[in-house]
Amino acid sequence: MGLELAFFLAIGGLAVLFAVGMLLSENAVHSALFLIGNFGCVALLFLMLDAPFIGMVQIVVYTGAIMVLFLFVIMLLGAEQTTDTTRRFRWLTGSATALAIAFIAAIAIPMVISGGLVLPEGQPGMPQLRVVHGANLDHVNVTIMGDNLEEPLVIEDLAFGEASDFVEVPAGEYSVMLAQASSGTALMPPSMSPTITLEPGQVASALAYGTLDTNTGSFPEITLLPNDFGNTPDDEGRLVVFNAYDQERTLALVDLGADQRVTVVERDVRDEDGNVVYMERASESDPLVAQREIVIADPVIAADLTYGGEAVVATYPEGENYNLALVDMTNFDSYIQPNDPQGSVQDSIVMRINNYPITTATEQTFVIAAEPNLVADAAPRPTILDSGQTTLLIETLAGFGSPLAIGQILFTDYLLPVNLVGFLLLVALVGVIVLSRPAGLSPEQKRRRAVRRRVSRPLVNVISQQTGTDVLVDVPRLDQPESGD
Amino acid sequence: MEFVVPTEFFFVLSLILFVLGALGVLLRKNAILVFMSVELMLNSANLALVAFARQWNSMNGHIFVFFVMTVAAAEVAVGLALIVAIFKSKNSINIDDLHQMEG
Repeated sequence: MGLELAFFLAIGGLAVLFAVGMLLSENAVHSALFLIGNFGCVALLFLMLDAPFIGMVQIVVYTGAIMVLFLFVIMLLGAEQTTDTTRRFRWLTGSATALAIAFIAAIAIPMVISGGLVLPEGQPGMPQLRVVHGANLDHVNVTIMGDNLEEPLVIEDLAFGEASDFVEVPAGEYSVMLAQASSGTALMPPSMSPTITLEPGQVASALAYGTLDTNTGSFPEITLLPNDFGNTPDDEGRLVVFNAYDQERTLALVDLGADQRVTVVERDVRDEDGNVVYMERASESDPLVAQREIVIADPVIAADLTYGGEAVVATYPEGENYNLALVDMTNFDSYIQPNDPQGSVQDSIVMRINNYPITTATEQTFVIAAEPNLVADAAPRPTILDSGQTTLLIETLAGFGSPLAIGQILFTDYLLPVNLVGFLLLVALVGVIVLSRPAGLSPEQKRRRAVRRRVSRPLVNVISQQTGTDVLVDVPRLDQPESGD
Repeated sequence: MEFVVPTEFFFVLSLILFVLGALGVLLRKNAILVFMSVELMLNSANLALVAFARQWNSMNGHIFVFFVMTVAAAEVAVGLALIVAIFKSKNSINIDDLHQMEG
C-alpha cells in the first residue's frame, strides 16, 4: 500500500470519525469542535487533490471564521446541553439510519462490483500555437492553412526574433506559408511550404528558421517547439533550446560560471558499464594505458544541439546572472592545445550570453538563430529568441489549483458570479442587521410617538367637528356651539 | 489519467460524510446542530467537486467550491442571526418547539 493511499485512508477515516462524533455528541460545544476537526481533515484531503488554495481557504474560512461564529452563538445562548428530551418522532431515528445505510449501499456496492465509476477522460483542449520568426529574413507575414480552419490564419508583419500571441486552433495538419511583409509576395512556392501537425492539447511554438536562397533551392523550414508552461518545476526554470544557427556544427549550451571561462578536465574514457577503456597495445608486453579524454567541467545545460534537430528541454535552477556560452562540440578536440588546454579551449566558444536570467516556474524558448544580414556581406550572428513567456492563454499559465490560476479564472470567466456573490454577502449583512434589531420600539421611539399623538389631538378635534362624527372615541369633545339660523 | 488515490475513493468518502450530515439534519433537535450538519453536507459536496476537478483537470470545480464557501458563509451569518432572534422570543432553539407554521 502506497504512502499516499495510507494517508488518504487515515485522514478519511478520521474525517468520518469526527463527523460521527459531531452527530452523537451531547454537548453542542463538543459537536462544534468535532466539526472543526472534520473540516481540518477535509482541508488536508484538498491538499492531496492538488487544490492548495481551496485547502487554505477551507481552513481560514470554515474552521476559522464560520466555526468560531458557531461557537460564539452557542456560548451566547448558553445552549451547550442539547439532550433531546422531547422525542416526538422516535421511529425517525431507526428509519433514517436504515435509509442512510441503504443509500450508501445502493451507490457504493454497484461501484465496487463494476470496479469504479465510469469516468470519461477529460477532453484535452484545443492546441495552442504561436509563430516565432527565427529565419534569415526580414519582416514576414505568416499564413497558416488547414482543412480544419474555415479561413486561413494570417499573422502579419512578424519581425525577426518576434513571437506572435498564442492562438487556439483545432487539431490537425496545417501548411505554413511565409510571405514578405512589405510587398506581400510569397517567399516560397506552395508546393515547398512546410506542414505541421498539431495534437489535441498541444502547446507549441512554430519556429520558422533557415535561409531563403533560390539559387541553391533552400527554403525556410518550420519546426514545432514544445511549450509546457503549466507544469514547470517549482524551484527551477525550464529552457527549450533549439539550434537554428549553425548548420555545420553541433553546439552545447554551457554554464560558464562567474569566471566566464570554459573549464576542462582530463579523465579516463569509460564505456557504458563504467569500465576504463584502454588504448590498443602495440605488443603483449607493453603496459596498459588508459585512454584519456578532455571534457568540459562546467555544467552543460543542453548538449547535442544539432541544426534543425530536436529541441532540447532542460531545467536549470533560478538565477539572475548566468554566464552562458555556446560551445562548438563537433570540433571540440581540435581547439585544445596539449600544452595549454585551459587557455586554448576558450577558442571553442561560438557565442557568449552574459547576465542571462533564469526564473523559477517559467519556460523560456531559447532559440539560437542567425540574424538576417541586412547589411550586405555581414556575417550572420547568433541571436537568442527567448521571446517571452507571458503571452500564453490563461488556462496553461499558472499551475493547477494555485491561487494565481484560480484568481485568473475568477476575474475573467467568472467575473459576474463573483460580483453576484459579493452582492449576496452584502444582502446577508443587511439581513443580519435587520434580524438582530431589538423587537418592538425603543424607549426613545415610544416617547417621540407619544409627543406626536399629543400634538395631533387638537387636529383630530377639528376633523370631528367638521364631519360631525367621532374620529376617536376617547377624545373629550368640546361643547358644540348652537348651530346658527 | 491514473492517480494513486482514485477519484472513486474521494467520492465514496464524500458520500459517507454527506449521509452523516443528512442524518444530523433529520435526527438532531438542536437548531445549531442541524445547522452544523448542513455545513457538513456542503463540505462533503465540496470534496466531491474538488475530486472531480482533479479527475478532469478542470479548474471550474475549484471555482464552484469557492462559491459554495461564500454562500455557506452568508448562510451561516443569516442563519445564526435567525437562531439568536428565535431564542430571544421563544427562549428555546429546540426545533420541536417551533411549530407555528404547522398547517
